[in-house]
Amino acid sequence: MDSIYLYNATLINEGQSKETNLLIQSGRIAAIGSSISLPPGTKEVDLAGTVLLPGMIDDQVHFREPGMEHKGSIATESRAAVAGGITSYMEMPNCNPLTINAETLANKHQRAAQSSMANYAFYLGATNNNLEDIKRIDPAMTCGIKVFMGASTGDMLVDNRDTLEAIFSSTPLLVATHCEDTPTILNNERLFIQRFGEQIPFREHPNIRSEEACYLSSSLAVELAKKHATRLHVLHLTTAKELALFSSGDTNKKRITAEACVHHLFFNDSDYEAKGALIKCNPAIKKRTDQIALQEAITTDIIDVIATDHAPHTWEEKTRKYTQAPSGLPLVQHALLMLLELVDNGTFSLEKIVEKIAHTPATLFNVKARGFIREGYWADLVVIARNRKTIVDQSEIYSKCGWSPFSGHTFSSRIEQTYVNGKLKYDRGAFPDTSPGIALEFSERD
Amino acid sequence: MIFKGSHILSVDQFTRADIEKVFTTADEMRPYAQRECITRVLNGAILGNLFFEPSTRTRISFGCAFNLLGGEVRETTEVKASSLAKGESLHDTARVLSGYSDIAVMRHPEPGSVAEYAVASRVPVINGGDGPNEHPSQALLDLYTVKLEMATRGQGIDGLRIALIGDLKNGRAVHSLCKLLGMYTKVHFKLVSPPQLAAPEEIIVALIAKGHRVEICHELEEGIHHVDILYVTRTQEERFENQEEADKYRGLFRVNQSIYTEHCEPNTVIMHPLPRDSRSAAKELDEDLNQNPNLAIFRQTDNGVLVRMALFALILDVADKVHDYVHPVTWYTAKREPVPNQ
Repeated sequence: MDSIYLYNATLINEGQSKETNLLIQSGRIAAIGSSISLPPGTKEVDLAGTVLLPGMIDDQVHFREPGMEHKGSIATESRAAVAGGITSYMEMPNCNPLTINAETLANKHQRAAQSSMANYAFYLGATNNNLEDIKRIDPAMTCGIKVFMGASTGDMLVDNRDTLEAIFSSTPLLVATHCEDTPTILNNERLFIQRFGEQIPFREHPNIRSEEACYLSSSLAVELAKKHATRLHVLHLTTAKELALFSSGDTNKKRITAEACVHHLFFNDSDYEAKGALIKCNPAIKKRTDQIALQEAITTDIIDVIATDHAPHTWEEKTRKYTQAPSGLPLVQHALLMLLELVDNGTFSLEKIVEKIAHTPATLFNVKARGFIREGYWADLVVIARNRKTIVDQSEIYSKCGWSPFSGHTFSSRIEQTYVNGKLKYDRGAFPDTSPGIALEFSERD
Repeated sequence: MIFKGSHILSVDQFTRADIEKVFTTADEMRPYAQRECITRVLNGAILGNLFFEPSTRTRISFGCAFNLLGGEVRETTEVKASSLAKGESLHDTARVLSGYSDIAVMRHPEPGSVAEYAVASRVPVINGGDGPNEHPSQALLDLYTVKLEMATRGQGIDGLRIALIGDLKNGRAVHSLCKLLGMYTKVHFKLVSPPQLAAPEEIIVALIAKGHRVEICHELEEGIHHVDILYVTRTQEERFENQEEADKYRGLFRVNQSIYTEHCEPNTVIMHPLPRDSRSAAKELDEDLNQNPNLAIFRQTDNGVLVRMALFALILDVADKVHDYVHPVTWYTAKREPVPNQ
């Protein structure tokens, strides 16, 4: 395989920023340092003026395949992800058919092996009646069990307390939960429909999918995990109140971990006025005070990872009225740029961002040889120009849905290149190598 | 009260439990008003819709409510065309017309006229407004709207903060609403009007006697901050001696978006019994508020149909049978409540 030499790079890795050079051989990082001897035929890339980061490992995306290809596919969404500096992703099971047994899981692996531009892993979905499938699953085939604890996603809603107890007590795998209490949401929704009829303003979304709904559900998840010593990962926290359920510290010492998503860190309820349905998502974007608390929880390590919850819908679907507009937004292409904007305004350090998008996801899921820029690790890398702007242009949105909540927005940085397994997959608006990524491998957790 | 067969003449007939009964029944009516399905529970029943004074929304709202329950509506709208114009007494008119229907709604310019009519009527009569006196269904739909608006904030009617604004002397809607709100607890009333158009003394005294807080304001700005509801009313020009007298008060209590933004809490709900005078010179409730999601005026009129359906269903004793006579909607309707999609 080709050798690539990246030089004059400012490497941001493991809490440090340093000027150095890096040699990629056979897809892996062969050497890091100032005096590397290059094999003949090595391609040399001058990275002066850019920063080099480990690629983002996004532990929560919805790529819609199989069954909802009008919204997106593994091919289209992984392409957008790579353009956004995401080199590995973990994909959610609410496809059609649902990813709830070995067969449907294997089907996704086959599809991704053909068409995914990034490295991939898939969650196995829990339902009220697939406990035996969960117990039997080969741990190498999945990054974890996804439990929609009372979120309305059709058949995947697990609202039976006995089923929850059984899942939490019997799986050796990581349990990742979406926590929103359905009865609370349905009651709120009834009140808002009574008040507004079909014209519910989008700004009421966080009052329907309320703080109380989140807290009721996430506190139950934490309670069950403590009772059964489950390895629990609570996805997309959105409220200050829920943060009290989690503890600060090293991710690899925690049994209960937490995730926040880029849009909950970036937006708050004042943005509904301008963005409306485009930022309607579940759990909802909440108050400014919640946003600030989430940002602080990143810095204090209460929240372990940052993800996107990329969830594309078509423009036609998204521009319906409140009760019919589906929740979710396309984010993989701009997630890193959003976070860099928060670095620019002083919210985060760049080192902290790298930790939460690459290091801790790798640690948390025991991903083998990724998430860090280390010799011997896979060369999953992203090159970013911090002094070049990105104007979000409609024609350069790579998600199948073709829209973004950031249309017309100017980000302060630009993604220059993305390397996946040492291959240059994205290069300033071009995709020079569309070969597939590979399945993430997981080591046993201690 | 026993609803079955009763005349509805005044809000004074209602207890708090009765009001709640009307509201829970109104909640049940929503699927029919939203055209999710139709009910024929009043199939064959006839409403005499007797309007001896001009009215558009109240008359049509009552008629529509009756139709939505499957009944038929017989209208009398022009007093000139009726036998009253030929000198017939209300008694005789009532006796005759009540032979032609199962229930009647009546509006008449004379205070007390509907009650007088009801005495001779063989069927239940609902007061659709008797001059400046009473308009109970309006007060009920206003209170129902207050309830629904507050419910999304997890609040009820107890403890409500409401500003009543405008012609509080002549506005019957305000008088009836005050009486209904008076049945709840710890309501904070701000009565905002020029001294000459102040609310009647007996209403204020009654509210204070029940332990409510009543604040009298003559300036709009002081009246509208720190309230949950703005209830704006029009100047009842037809109740003034002459137009010149009415014109004196024009624009004094204008509410528009910039006044709202400057002085109101961000979630303050704006209500108005309608019609509002939308001519630019009217300076009442400006159209620039139309995009404000807290403008509840059209939700009031929509809720009016539900409340009137509830009154019909309760008086004709079919409230628990409405769902037994259900049919699918076969035509296109933009009103149908969409199914939530996640």
